[in-house]
Amino acid sequence: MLKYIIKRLAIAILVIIAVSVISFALLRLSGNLAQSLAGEGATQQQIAEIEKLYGLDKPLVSQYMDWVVKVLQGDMGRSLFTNEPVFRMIVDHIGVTAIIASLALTLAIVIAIPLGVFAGVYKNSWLDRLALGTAVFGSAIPNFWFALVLIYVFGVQLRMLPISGNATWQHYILPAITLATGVMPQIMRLTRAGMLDTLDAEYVKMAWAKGLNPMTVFFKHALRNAILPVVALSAVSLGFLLGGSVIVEAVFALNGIGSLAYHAIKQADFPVVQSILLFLSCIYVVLTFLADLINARLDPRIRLR
Amino acid sequence: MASAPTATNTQEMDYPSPWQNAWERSKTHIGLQIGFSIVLLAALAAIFAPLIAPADPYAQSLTSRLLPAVWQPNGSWDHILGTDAYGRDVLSRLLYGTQVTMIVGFGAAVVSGIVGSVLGILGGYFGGKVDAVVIFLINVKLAMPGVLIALSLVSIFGGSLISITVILALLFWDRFAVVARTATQQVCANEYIAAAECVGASRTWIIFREILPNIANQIIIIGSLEMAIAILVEAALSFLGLGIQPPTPSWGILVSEARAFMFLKPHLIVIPGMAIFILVIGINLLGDGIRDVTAPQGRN
Amino acid sequence: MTSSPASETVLDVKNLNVYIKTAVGPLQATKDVSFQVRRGETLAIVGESGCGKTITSLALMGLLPKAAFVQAESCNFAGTELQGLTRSQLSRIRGKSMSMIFQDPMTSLNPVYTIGDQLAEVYVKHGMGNKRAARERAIMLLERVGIKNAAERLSYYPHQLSGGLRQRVVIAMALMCGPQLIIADEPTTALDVTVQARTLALLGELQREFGLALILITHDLGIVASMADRVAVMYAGCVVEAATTEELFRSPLHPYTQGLMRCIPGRHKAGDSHLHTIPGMVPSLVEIRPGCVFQNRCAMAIERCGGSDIELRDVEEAHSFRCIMPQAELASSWLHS
Repeated sequence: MLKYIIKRLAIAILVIIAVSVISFALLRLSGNLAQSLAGEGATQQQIAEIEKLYGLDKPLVSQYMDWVVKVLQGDMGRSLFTNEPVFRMIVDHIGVTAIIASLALTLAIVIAIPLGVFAGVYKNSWLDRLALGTAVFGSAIPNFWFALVLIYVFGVQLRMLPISGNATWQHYILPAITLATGVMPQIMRLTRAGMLDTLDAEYVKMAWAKGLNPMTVFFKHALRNAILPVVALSAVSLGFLLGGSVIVEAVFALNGIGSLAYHAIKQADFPVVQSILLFLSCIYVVLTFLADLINARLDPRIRLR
Repeated sequence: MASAPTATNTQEMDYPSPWQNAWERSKTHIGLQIGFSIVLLAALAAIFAPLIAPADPYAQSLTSRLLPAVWQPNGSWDHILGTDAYGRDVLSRLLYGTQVTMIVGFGAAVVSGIVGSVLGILGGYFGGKVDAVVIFLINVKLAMPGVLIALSLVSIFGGSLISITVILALLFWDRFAVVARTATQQVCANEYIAAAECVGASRTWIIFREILPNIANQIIIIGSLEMAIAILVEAALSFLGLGIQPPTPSWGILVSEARAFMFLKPHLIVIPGMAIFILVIGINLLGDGIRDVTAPQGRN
Repeated sequence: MTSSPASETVLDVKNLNVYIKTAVGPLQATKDVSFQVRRGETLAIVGESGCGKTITSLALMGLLPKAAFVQAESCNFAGTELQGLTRSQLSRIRGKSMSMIFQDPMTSLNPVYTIGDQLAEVYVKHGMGNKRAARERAIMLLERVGIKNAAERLSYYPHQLSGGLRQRVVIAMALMCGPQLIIADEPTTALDVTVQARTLALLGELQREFGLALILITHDLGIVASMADRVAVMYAGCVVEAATTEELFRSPLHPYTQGLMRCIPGRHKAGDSHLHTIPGMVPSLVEIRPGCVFQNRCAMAIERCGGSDIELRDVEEAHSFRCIMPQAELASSWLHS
């Protein structure tokens, strides 16, 4: 087990290093930063001063190393435009995104897993068709458009829910529904496929032969085995939601990490952008690592290797 | 004597080829037929947009702004779906938007399909260090927040059709790689690969003649799913203003431009949104249908 | 066959027919299968794969897939008619007074629960006692089936045990609620040859000790000879011959049974090193013709075999077979083979 954890950790660290190189390189591709910072009519001398100020005159490798060392010390640099510390900005914005992302994932799981279980149990029934139809709907609907439709129906026509900002908890409902719609289908399909496999397994036949109740057979014996890949998918989905909430944040005027990144990208505020990319990647890596640990908890064959 | 079929010949004719089988099954597969019709319709609309569009999609007219659609009060057949805030004909913009959608979606699926399949086949076939590198690349790709990377790349390289297509391709190659890798491993476990190696077939020969034909089906299915997702992401990027640039009529831009009038003219938002929704469903149905009819007998 | 008191009969199956629904209509998987098992008795059901023996056992347990349905004249288990029971009524019998041992112990235990959980579960479900009582009984039974350190092994997961040990756990699980009948479907086929004999010996001991009725489903006549009191030979969904083990091995009558016997290597005259086989294959369900089910592979087949269905004929007490040939002719065919 310890060996397994160490191996996963080593891979995780390598992945983060690779991501940091890519997100660093990405922003250096965006042309002459000093030029754009100095503004349209800047003189050659002003540009050189700015290059010096931000360390842009050094070779790329040493710029990268400087950045890495600082990040490891907790210093992600400052925004080129507001001069705020990037770390502070991320901390200020991550809360909103974390709330809607985890709400969305919870909502998706609460709907998708029972639906997937019964769709698998009653394969080809009307319930199965309904579940698959919902999945097709959820994965085909453009989320920015669905957000607008929700705003129109619940916010404007029915006046049930607020449609922009994050003043109250009600403000999180529509964004969470929008995001959940996108991830629900995958979780449902994976649960259903897992159930179809495990329901055919000998140990489920054995569970029936023991005279257990259907619910015990479905949830205790079949789902517990079917859910292992769903755990991994949920972790991936949460990571995806944190980085993918930019669209929903834009529509609902939420000031989360997505909209922070969006505005930074538009302004070519590279310390902010590269730090957010790195930060979200780290979160993703941590989440998948957690999923591995949960799976090891759920599956003794992993744990006791 | 030569013309009389022997017993063995008639025996063989009883067993149709996999393609005949798939063809027979597709005749009764309603989902596949609906999906195929939708995709065919979209492709025709894209190809013949210049011929069937009633107006120039870029022609603005201050005097005919926000005209109602034909079924609304005061609507006219001149602008069947009405006009937008710049007085442009919505139907024409929708039809030209099909071009953008189909080119970007199909292009991104093809490019990412090639990149991902090559990586996956290499990893699956050679194994060992090559495989470790492929898996690592997939892990790195998965760890990156895709939408934000795409937004950054668009802000750097601009929102032309080609750059959007390539950027989206960078976002989607991983699933091809995963599927191609697993499928290749399964194919390689079969004895005919070992047999081909024994008779001295080259690696290129084995990859192109033995592996590729056997995994092509799965890659095409992933391709259809990724094309659908690429269409959704292109629309979203364009909607955010970091995708296809106005005035080019992407469906995402149509929604974004109509947003300011969504309470006055909801149809301006509903129509392009439904267009995306229906096309994506069509592509998914087509992909699922291909999977169903080409799956080995009895599998679902 | 009905000489013994009815009270001792644990399971009495009369004319069990299992059908499987298909696109082209129902296919008959078993046809008029009848047998009885008494307390303390082992009935072996023998046949090649696909002959309907597993389907018969699943039908008794109510474990057939949804596409299958059952019609029987009667299916009496310890005084209860199994036909027409609701699912919850049936689940009160399953695992309690009638339990099943599956073929492959590698897959029949749930990999994510400890064997202690899985043993206790069935005991608690059937209201035999609380968790502590279940634990005590589990330890007792594990020790009885020859697992050392039973208390400690309760916290093991299936993958930590060898195949032979797992099958012992499955056997212990079948005994948890003190059943009257155990159905063992090829209980040793998936095990190593060296483990097979020990597991069978254990099963035999337990059967005598607990006074169980045991239905042993197998394709192995060696196992039949060493374990069974009575045998039912199945072919293509039919019982073609039934007799006491001794009687069947002494004078098999049905040509199929005779064929099976000839397939046992080394059974015949010294010097006959010829490896016998029965030509042809078991017909699939769609291919079954009217008349005798074995006609297309039978060396003695005549035209009349393809006529109407063959009735089961009693020759002696507790020996019956399904063939139109005179008994004397069949018996002499066996003696001269």
